[in-house]
Amino acid sequence: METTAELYTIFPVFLLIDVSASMAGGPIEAVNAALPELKTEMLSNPTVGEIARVAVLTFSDEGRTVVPLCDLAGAQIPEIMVEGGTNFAAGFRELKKAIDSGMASLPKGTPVYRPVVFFMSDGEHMAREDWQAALGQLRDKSWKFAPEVVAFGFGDANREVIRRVATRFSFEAKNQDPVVQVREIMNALIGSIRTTSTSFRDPAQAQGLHLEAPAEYFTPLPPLQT
Amino acid sequence: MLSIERVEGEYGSYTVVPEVLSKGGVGSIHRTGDPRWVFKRYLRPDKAPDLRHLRQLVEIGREVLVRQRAEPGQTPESSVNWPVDIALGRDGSITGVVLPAIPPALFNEFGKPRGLEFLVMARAHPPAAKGRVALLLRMAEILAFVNARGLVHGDVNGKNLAWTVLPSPVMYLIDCDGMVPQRPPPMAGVHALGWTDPRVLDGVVPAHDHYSDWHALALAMYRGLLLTPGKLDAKTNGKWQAPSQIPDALSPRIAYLLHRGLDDPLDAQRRPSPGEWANALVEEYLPAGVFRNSSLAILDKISTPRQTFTPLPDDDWTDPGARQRTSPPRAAQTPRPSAQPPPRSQPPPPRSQPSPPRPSPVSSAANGRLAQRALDRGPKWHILGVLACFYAPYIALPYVITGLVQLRKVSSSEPRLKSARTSLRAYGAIAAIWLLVIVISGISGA
Repeated sequence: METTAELYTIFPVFLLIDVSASMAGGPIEAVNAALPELKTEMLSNPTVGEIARVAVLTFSDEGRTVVPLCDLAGAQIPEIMVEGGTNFAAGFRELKKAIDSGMASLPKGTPVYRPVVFFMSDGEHMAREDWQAALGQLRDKSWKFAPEVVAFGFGDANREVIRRVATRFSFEAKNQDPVVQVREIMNALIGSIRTTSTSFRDPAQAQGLHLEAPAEYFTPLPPLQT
Repeated sequence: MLSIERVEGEYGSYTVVPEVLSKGGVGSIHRTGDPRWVFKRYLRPDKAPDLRHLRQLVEIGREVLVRQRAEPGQTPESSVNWPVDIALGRDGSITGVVLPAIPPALFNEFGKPRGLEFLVMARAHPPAAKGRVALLLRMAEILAFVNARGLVHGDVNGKNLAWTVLPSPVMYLIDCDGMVPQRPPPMAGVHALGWTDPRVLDGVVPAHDHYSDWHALALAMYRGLLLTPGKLDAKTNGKWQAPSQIPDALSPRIAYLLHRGLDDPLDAQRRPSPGEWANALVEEYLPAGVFRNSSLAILDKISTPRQTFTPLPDDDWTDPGARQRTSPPRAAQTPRPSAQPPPRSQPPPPRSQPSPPRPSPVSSAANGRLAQRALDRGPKWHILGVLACFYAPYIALPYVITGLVQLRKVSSSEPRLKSARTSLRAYGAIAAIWLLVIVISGISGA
């Protein structure tokens, strides 16, 4: 008997969170409050837990894999700390590595959807190196794990940059309070993972990715013509 | 502050709390002034069920829940969340229905109804086979009742049955306001990932019918009895796949029903009815009203999640002698063809591990090791004990005393400790009395 038979198709999700100094205080606390809620979602909704595999990454001057791709129901969620500057390139490089190793860690033969990245940032790239080259590598169509990137901007994020990071969907948080903005983004992530995991459609296909970003809290940004 | 709303139903009026208890794709649930009932407000009139069908359901619901006042879960008919009243808008459109509040025992620690998915998915740590069989039997009986009333639930899935095993097994069918008659077959409806009738996915029928309820029941049996993911609602290479995780050790009768229900998902006529399932479960696992433990043990064995490590014997890991005597690890046993998904990525280890207890420097004998061995050997020692007490009480007595001293050193968590102590004391008493009899009879003879 084939052990991978009759398994649910895995939905790999990577959260890439800006932890630069501007996230200090309320915003990072909101992130740290929401991550255990994401774990609770996996426990309280076994079907979602069976389907979603989640990784948590941060970026500042460096990129870090805080939680590698795993079944979050059994994972320890560490507290995320604020670091220094904002280097998108470091984040994208770390993300590419985490996707490669995360997808390789899934048992052979596991049916799997295209990975989806939820990117959130409150600022702009501040390092000298070119971040768009790292983004280009992440979105290289010849790479078999090239992910769908959904971008959320808040605080001082540059709307055009947020649009550029996203493959199709990008949003700007409406509320003026960054704590509320972060909380709503995290709610949107959890809701999107829940709804997409229990949908019949491939998240990589049109309308397969169900984004729970209510118009009350988010302004959808028009996609860049590529 | 939220204001209380007054809703007029066809049978009475209700105060409705605006705060949303839960929200779904069709409507939101609100408390009412009567703790027995909740109000389901439809998001849009077109999301509401057909009024004629709804009135039929309300009629049954009022008979069972209002006139008979049956407790939820007491009987098959009271295990259905029947609507008991309908609220209409000024234009005659349905604005909502009044439903029984789901009993608190059916809610889990997350504040949500403990759905069927918690019973049939290994990751949710469902009860042992006995509890699962009892609840799946109830599910079959409830659907048999719904079926006998000529109704289709149409959305039997991992969330629409709530259950508990404590204080006794209760299964409860929810989301029932959309139930429709079997004739004519439904033309529209909803379905959930993992529970959809392949006939709907293939366009053979436009919506779930009562055979779809039977399909969902067969899926629940397959997943719930064997704890296998059992996702069968997608084709492989353009073909529907028969279930591949039915082990040979499963009761042939249950296996036969699973094959009938799931092998050819487009042949609805072949699917076992809920009544057939109920009869089969009773005869296989609960004959004459008593659980057949041998059959349940087999079910427990074949539904045990795959081991990821070679099982280790129970041992005293604080004892250095024990560690030295432990055999080197063998190669991992070949797991049985598992119903479980292969292990996923391991979560990162906890950041700090508690320090291991320091090994005791005393000998293994002083640690109660001999007594532990005696405990492990069990019945043989009891026979020897009895024989020794009668044939050589003067030898048995010192051994009994040594044994009791040894047992004081065995871990207090050892489950056999109490019975071993009682046995030894009994042997001691027998040996002492017997020795006394011998001595007295010797003295009298002299």
